[in-house]
Amino acid sequence: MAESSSPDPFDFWRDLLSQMEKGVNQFANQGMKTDEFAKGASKLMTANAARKKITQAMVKRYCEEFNLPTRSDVEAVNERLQSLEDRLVEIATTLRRLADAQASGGVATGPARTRKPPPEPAAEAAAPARTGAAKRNTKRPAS
Amino acid sequence: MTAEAASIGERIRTEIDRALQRNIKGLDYLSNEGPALGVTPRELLHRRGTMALYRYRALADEVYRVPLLIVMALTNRGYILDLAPGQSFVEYLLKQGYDVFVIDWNAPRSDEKKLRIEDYTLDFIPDAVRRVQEASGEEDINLIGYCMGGLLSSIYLALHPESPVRHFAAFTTPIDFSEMKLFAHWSDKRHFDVDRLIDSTGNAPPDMIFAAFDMLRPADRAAGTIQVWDNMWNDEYVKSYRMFDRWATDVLPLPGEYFRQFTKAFMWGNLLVKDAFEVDGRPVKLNRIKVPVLHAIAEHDHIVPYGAARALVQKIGSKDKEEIVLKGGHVSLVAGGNAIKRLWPKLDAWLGKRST
Repeated sequence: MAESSSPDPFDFWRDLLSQMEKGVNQFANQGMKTDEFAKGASKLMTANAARKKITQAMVKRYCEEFNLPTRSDVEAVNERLQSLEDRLVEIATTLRRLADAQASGGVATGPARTRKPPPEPAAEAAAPARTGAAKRNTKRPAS
Repeated sequence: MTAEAASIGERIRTEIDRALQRNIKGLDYLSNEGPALGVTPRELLHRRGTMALYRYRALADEVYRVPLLIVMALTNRGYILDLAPGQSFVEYLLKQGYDVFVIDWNAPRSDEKKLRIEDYTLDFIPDAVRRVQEASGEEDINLIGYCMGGLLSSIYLALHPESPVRHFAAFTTPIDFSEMKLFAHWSDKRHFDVDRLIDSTGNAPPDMIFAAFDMLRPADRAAGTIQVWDNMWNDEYVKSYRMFDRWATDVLPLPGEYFRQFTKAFMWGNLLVKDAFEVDGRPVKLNRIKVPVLHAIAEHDHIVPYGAARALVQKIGSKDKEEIVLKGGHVSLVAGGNAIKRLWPKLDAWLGKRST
């Protein structure tokens, strides 16, 4: 079938979307480079953190008042559990290693560590990475 | 009917078909959690607080002698290196015959808010290296670091020239922080009171870190949502979008003291590139790194631009060092179709002959 010379409206709006995305990013980045933005964003972030801290303190007081566990209590329990779990993992790993050693009579298990790289294909394997992006990929020499 | 009219008709039919598919698959999209990630079989070798060391099960009958340890970035989960089967960097390495270990980071607990760069470079990484030696029975180790994992690995290597690491590959590793223009501007000490922030939050909250990454390209999220709707008929596109989107939004908090130290030493002082950074009173000189190094940088990396990354190869003391700039962005350098074609075979070609 002959190629249509008329523009495709669906592709047109996809291009438009892509251009808008780039444009908005560039425009926003310009705005974000200003001191005013950095100052405002920092203030907002610090204020948010301070607000969170106050809210947490208030919730903690209420929890204590009603004899409920606070977030830090739950976190403390979680930390204890986590550290117990860590110890269990440690013990399980040691046991597994001992069992493996016993089963194999002290001989190393798993695949042999004797693999050699295939001489030619290894060099060729890298080629598509360079040629596939020949226009823009650069290999810069070490300085 | 002219060929042009037939072509337009065909195009409209395709779009109507896609619109129907969008409605059918859109429901599935909303009700389904998406593909399972990080499914390559592995064993948890060691876990201590925020650090988790995994060993992946070999997929080759014969492996290289030298085991490979990968250090993940602190801000994100390690499953970016192990997406779905066929798109997993770890799986690729296993099939090529590497014995793969990964340090993945859990969210730091509140009692870990005091962790500093010292803890990572003098304790966690050396501990993992020792455990890899024990588990593999080999003295030598090869190391890969992604993004901040590359930075921590570089500091570790500079502090331990006697370490058993024989070769080091860094991916998009920032060294010159003055070149991370927007981040440097936002954290300018004239406006950004890091002490006040960390004193009130303990650990640096993940929503703040996510917002900082997101603000670098504020239109991307909205445009991505429109694009995924447009491509809802395309299962592969949707699968890929969901994998990357889930990972990008799964941001970890950073230990408060680490964040404070990082901001002051790197974002304010840019001390590493000036050879003025110290860890526990010990100077960190990158020229003390003598092992062969490959640094892969993404051409369109908006998080770690080329200017911020190039200093690694410039500053290290290795004779055998190579920097490659590959097409792609910060994430697509290591994962997805772009990485499968470019970085993975390049890394294998470089590392395979150095792993015997």
